[in-house]
Amino acid sequence: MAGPGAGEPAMEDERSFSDICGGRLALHRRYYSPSCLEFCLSCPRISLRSLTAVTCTVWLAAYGLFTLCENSMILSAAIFITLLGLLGYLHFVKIDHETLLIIDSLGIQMTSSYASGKESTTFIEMGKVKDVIINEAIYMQKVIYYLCILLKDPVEPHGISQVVPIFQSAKPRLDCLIEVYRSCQEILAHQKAASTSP
Amino acid sequence: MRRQGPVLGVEAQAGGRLGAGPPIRPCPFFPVLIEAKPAELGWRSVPPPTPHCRNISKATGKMVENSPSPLPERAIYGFVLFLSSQFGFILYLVWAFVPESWLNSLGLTYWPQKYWAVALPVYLLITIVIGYVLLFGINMMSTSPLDSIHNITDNYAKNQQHKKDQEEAIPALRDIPISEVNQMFFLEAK
Repeated sequence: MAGPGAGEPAMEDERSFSDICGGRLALHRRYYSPSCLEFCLSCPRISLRSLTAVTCTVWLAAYGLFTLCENSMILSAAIFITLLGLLGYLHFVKIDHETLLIIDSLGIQMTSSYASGKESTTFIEMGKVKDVIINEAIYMQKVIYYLCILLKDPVEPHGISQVVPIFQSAKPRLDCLIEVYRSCQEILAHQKAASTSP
Repeated sequence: MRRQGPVLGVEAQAGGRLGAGPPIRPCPFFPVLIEAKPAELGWRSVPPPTPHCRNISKATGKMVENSPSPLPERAIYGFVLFLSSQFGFILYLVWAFVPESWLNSLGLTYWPQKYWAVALPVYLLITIVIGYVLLFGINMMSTSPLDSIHNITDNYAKNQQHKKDQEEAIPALRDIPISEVNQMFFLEAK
């Protein structure tokens, strides 16, 4: 944690939280200025236990098929499938960390970085953003809290056109969401004050 | 001990509650339209008749309340149901077990194939099992996804009118926008 001067908020901050399944998350907060803030949420890494479990299951199933069919191509096919499956999972499914960058006059940017290094970015300009809220919803067999961005309706002044949930693959719990929510609301209030005063 | 009810002269039915038991209040959704003085409201203070809740027996002028107590009509319905279900079961057993030739010799030739005596129960049981799975699946499918607008608001909330708050009265029920709710919960608890 870098030490700033007295009275200024910390430039960088790292805290540990947990997600809805109990895995450990790390929230890294970077404070650039009163109008710019970045949150980086790191998901738990892929564990050796689950990797060996999946590999063993696939290889045992392939061996069982091999004893039935007496065809050794099945075994090499199983090795290929495991390798390609792991690469595909790391590149398309497993997210390593998610970042939320809010710039007061510009907009909000969400970045998801996959385990293979691929990054996917979404940017929403500030004119479209109505509010950032914490909402509760039913997800599978649980009721979870999640943070989402409400977008303005061009037709109706107080309407909501779209809901964009953020931190979807990390799914942190309420304590982490409250931290992010409060910081976002400070910046949005700052932005509203700046936009109403000429 | 019978108590005199209010003006309408309500009496309990045979087999119903005669001065005993808690008052059952059917149709709680319809408000009491007649203002009765507290002294007159006894065990059987009954709201005036409404078409959905009450059958007024015009011949006697008494009111039949919707209660689960045993009544002669219900006993008859139950017995008829019992007899018909027993008859249906015996008929099913006869059809399933008695050989085709015996039934033909009696003149009963145009009955369904005996295959169905086994097939229909199996179909029924499989339908019940699939029903459990299907209900679970339908529930999950009709849950709104996390990015759906239905988790935030709906047509009723969008079209509601905002009434002015009266002095010293409980404010009218309304849907509070989610931004306000969030500010109340998460910002002011500092």
